[in-house]
Amino acid sequence: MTDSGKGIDRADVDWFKSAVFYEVLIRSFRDSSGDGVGDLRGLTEKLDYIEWLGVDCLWLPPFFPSPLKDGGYDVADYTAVAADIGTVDDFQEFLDAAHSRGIRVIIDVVMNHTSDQHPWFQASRSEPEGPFGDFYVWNDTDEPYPDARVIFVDTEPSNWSWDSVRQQYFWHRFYSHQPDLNFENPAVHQAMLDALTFWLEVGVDGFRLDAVPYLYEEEGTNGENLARTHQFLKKVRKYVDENYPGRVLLAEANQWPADVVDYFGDPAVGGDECHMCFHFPVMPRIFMGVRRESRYPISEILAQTPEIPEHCQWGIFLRNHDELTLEMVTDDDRDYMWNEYATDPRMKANIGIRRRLAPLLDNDTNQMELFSALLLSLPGSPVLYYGDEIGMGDNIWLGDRDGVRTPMQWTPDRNAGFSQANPGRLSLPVVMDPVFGFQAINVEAQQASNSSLLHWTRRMIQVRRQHSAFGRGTFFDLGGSNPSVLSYLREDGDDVMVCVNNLSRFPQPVELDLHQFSGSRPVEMLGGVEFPTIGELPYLLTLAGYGFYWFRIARPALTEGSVA
Amino acid sequence: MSEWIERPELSAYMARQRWFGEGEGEVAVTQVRELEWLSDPAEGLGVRFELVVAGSMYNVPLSYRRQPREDLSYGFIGAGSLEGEVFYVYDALHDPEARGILVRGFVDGDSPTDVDYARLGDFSLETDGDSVLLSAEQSNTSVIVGDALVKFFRKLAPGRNPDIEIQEALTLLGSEEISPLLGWISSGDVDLAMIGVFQRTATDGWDSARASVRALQDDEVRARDAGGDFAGECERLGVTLAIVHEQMRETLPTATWGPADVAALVGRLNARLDRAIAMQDTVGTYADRVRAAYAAVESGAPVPVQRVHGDFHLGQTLRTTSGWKIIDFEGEPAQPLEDRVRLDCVARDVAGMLRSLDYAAHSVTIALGVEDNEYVDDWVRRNRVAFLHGYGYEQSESAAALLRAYEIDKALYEVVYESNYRPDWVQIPLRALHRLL
Repeated sequence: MTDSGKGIDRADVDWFKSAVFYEVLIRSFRDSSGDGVGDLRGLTEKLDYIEWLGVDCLWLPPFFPSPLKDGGYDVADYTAVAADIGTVDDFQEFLDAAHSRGIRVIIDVVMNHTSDQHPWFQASRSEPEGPFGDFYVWNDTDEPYPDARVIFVDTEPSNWSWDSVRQQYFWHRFYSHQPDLNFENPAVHQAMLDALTFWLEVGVDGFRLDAVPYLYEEEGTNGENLARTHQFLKKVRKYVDENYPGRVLLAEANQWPADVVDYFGDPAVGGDECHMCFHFPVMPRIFMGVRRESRYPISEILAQTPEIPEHCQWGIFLRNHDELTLEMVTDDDRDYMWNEYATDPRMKANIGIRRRLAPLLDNDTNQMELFSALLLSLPGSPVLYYGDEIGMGDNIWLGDRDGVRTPMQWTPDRNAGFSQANPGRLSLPVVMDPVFGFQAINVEAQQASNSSLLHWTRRMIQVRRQHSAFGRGTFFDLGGSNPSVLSYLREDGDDVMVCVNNLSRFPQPVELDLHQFSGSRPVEMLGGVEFPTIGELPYLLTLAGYGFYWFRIARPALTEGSVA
Repeated sequence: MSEWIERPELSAYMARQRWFGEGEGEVAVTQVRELEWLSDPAEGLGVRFELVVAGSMYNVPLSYRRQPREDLSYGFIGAGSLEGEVFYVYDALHDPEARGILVRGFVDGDSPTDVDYARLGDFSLETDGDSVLLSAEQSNTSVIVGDALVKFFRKLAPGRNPDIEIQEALTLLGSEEISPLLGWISSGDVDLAMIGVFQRTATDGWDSARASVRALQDDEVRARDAGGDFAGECERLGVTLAIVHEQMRETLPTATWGPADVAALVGRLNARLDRAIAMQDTVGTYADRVRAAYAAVESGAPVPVQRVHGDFHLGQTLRTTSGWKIIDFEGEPAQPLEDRVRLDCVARDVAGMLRSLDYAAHSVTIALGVEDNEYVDDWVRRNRVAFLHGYGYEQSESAAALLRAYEIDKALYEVVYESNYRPDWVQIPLRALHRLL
């Protein structure tokens, strides 16, 4: 195994700042072997599609050997591929094929815990004095760290569980089948770095680090965001930078932006922890803003988002494999969000369950387009979820998170073109309802129709790629006369974009103060139509319900006497 | 003596302005007080404040240009002469260059002896010389300069402007519920302008409330189930007003009304009722019930009073990215200063907002030409309750009687106003009176 890296510019260390990410679940994307489970070779087959769509980087959730009690986030071996998905050689082949198309790949690493089936844990419980005896957090009582909240309150009574083999309690911040690794132990640090090294040598372009706030425990704290957790992440970053430049660390820290920003590290050196962090609150705020037909839920959260170091970027998303969550909010904001969400039956119903974008938005194309336009133009790198580009539905009758993990719908043929297997053999059934079923919603049909959501999404991604303002530019809320219209300026040197979004279902006018661009003619970017020249007076625009504009503003040469 | 007294151009210009509150037609200019030059006309552009008496006294800053400017023709007043030389005279607030000169005193602190630029704390205006004139204002003229909003008062009166007085007190207290005051311009005991932080991303509550009402119409659901529910915002607005009232109590005078003061209040309310009856017959049919409602205020219980906003409605609120802000503390502009600074009961502001919510809701149905008001009434009820809950309005018989009296008083004023100017809208206060009585 070697990292050819062909097609990838390793010297471009800021590539992630303007990249479009695409999260794909291998088991649900394409089954090449006909066994009913999507696999790496299937994913390789579909790289042409991913390239056509305009994706810059794939994010692959865990594909390692696992008992699959937590969607693969319960890892039983960090340096192998689950047998039903393929082999490490298959992965190498896939990665080389992606790289040759200029597509990067990041993979998930679960640092905080392993599956209880991991050989480390099996050794640790049966051989307390052995080399893995101290790999997990063991204790004779279940009393330490009482201030750490139980995250999965519905299923776990405590963060401690009794192990009948070792006759001790072990610590777990998540499920009791996922014991936490003991980061007090230097050997655990080394084992983690070895696992990262394995995949870096294969050639991956970075890691999404799952559940990073919880690595350490300390008495008298809530066990989140501790200083030593940050120290360990800095150590990882330093190792990666020195040995594998151009790779990215993306932190999943489901916390308030003011706390998350610490995971970027020291601003004085442009960031020395994670290159990217997910911005969790922006997503429920977009839903709330559109539901309320008010820009304030979105404007507020952006105003409260702190500056980030120079070589860093937010990751933003509308949907992913997890639920729409309010967990990240704290204190005042939690009250605010609960007040607004929990009293509204429509919004309340969407908390804590997994829905895809299209069913959340009543399959309304106008809303889907508006949401995507926001995702692609707000500050941060957008992360798309497979299938949302065609408006796929979900299957709420499947348990846990599986409802949004149904097979990708490629064609109107058997199994949606996902697999040749007997339909009964599919690991998850394809969606078959009359609205979202694969006969109505599939890639083949939408590729054939220029007016489809798929073509629209692709065009938007193309426009985004042409403007560095979206990935690297500053963000400036333009305000404006209409509370239902969210308008902002994205600016990177000479590249200036004005984005205007109508969050209301009704047509709306808005007056914007654009006088700093007086004399310039905005050009709408989807059609290239020139709009009237900006003058000294507020600039009047009208928008259709859920309508939006992306304007490019060319700064005119200052003419004499044009300003006082 | 100013040439504007003998020549018609300035009185003609003023008669065309929305801020000129002397009714229809021109009113002769009888006196002009020219303050010192802020810039020297000998250099081609002279700017100064001129205090013009035409009926009342008005603030008319003028720019004198040696060369005419075609692009400023909207603010052109006429040709004038200075020491025998012809100058082209403009409303300085419509002249971008002159606007920069009018606010220069906030930048460097320099000003002539008869114009004072007061600055709170270590404020110093930062500007690149660029400014934007806000349109659509009734009684003042406002200009955005950098991150600041300069409000030029048009109709002048001697004495501290209550807007400056209250906002200074609240700003010094550190209030986060107003838009902080940064300074003001005055000449002697006449306030000419004030400058405060410009809330760039804000819109007023009137627009937000109406957006919420519009969102109801095809949901076929009650307001609480509707996507555009406004109750959360209304509750936070109530909280904000309660905090501002508390801050006013902390830093401005308070008192307690005994029975005689309350009787005087009832007297004032009844006098307003009499005037309303005289102006509008319809009101007469409610007179007995109104007087009975007013009489209920005289319960004998003492009434705590304080400085209040005095003209509180949705248009005086700003939704910003850091919550609601309350603006414009000058009271009802048409009232004499004495009435605008009178200590009053907080119920007056609370009632003002309740009437405003009713107006916001029904103005949407009028715009849509909808007859069925049921879903709108439901919206009003829900948002009234939310606002009162957020405010924490006292739940007692006497407090309820006061609130009802102030609401009725406001609605009567509205009946007269709408009958004269917007007959289509008179149904709004009439429905309210029907409900209140």
